[in-house]
Amino acid sequence: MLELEGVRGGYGKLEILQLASLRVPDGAIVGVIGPNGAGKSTLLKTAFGYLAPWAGRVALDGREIAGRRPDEIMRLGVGYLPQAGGLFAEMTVHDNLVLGGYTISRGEKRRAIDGIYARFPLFRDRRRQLAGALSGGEQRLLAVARALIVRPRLLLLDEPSAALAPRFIDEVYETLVNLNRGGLAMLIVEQNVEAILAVAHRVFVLDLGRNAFDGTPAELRGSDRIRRLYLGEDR
Amino acid sequence: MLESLLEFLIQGLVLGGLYALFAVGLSLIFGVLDVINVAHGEFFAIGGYLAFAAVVLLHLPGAVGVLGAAVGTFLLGLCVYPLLIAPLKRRLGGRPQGPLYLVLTLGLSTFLQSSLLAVAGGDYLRVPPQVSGILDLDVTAVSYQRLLVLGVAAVLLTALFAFLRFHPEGLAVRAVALNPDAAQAMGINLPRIFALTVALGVALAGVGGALMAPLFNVYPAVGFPLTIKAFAITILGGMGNPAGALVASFLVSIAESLSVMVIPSQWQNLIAFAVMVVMLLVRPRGLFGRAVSR
Repeated sequence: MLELEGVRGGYGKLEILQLASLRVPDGAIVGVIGPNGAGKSTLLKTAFGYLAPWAGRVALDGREIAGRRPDEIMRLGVGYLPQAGGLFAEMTVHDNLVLGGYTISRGEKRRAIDGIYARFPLFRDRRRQLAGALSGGEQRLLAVARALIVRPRLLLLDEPSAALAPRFIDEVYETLVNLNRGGLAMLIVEQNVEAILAVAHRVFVLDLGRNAFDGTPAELRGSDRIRRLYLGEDR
Repeated sequence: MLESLLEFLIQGLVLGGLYALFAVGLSLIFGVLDVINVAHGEFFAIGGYLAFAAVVLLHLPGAVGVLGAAVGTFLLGLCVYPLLIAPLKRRLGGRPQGPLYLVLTLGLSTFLQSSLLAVAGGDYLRVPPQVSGILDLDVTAVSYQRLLVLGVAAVLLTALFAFLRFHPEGLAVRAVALNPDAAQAMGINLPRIFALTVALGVALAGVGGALMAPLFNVYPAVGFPLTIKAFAITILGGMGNPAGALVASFLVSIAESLSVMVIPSQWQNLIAFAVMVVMLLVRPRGLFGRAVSR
């Protein structure tokens, strides 16, 4: 589905990604972990078009998408959730959902939002509240719900567990796993290694903008070198 | 005393309509694009010239002149982002752009003023009022033309705020003002929203120019003093906050109007700038802060 091959890129003249590569197969959850500054978020931003790659290939369903704007990539069926969720905190819960359906017809949008309200009754009850007034976990769920309105095929998530209490992390990941069971593929960048290893089908370790590991969570747990270097485990 | 107070209050309200038409657009553009449009006054002048062309040269009804000014300045405004701002943005990448945008729109202002001078000359042109007559209110008399400005401003600004609140494209404008990256993730095409915002903002100024043409006369630099005054109003209301600019427009116009009761009238125009300086020193965010969002 999504393929990054030998991607170099960064901000201004600062090179962050150095020949990074990964693949997200249809319907899979792929995790990206690595130390701070490894280029994880830069990788997502490059995949979604916020940053143009300096070299390499970014392809969706075999079609090159490098150089396209984020709104164009979104219209190809890709959703993106930035680290803090990317909600419009000073707009209401309902307006956030309406914006989530910006690219679809009015009728489709109404049905999709009704579906979200049925699935998350909390949001129906608080539809007129400002999104910024929700708790951190609720905001993250609202961001996920908003991304679902257009029925994406692939979600790119930047640290969905960041700054959340443990019970909210479980709730967010439970929701993500349920969505994946329905066929939604995900590329998740995480600092919370245990959370991502518990759900991912494949894991990439990124270090200094390069691939340091590519395998299943079980293979990663079985690699002493990787566990020692990147998970801080001594065994 | 009470009669004078009422008289100046009414005159202030009427003037506030013009200020609001002008300053709300300027504030909207700043809120969404982070661009201070120094050329805003030239779109006011173009609105006046379009009204003159329609009514005096083509002998069309006054309403057509106002409509023509709205459509003409809207279409011109649509070109500003793709032809001027976007190329500069691309060239600068992520570097700070604010001061360069200021110079860019100052250049646009000079270009438009010089173009108007070249095409229409520097004479003061008179446009007949769209409505004639005077409403006698006992305490004061107000021309119907001035009331028309206030009425049209009320209708257009209500429509603008309803658009921003309820229409999907209006929501998109607010979303871009709040968080352009997140807005793109919703599928919102930023260049399109930027172009639309500039067009809407300058069209309000264009309508103001057409409506004020019978009162101010039309000449190339007619809008420039208004631009400077609108800066003071937008700073008072909170830069990039159209609702704040609306309130500040009436605060400034009423303050200016009432000031002649206590200070000589030649000092009247200094009121807005005194307020601006005090506000910058005391509360730089303005009375209401920045929020196109709500």
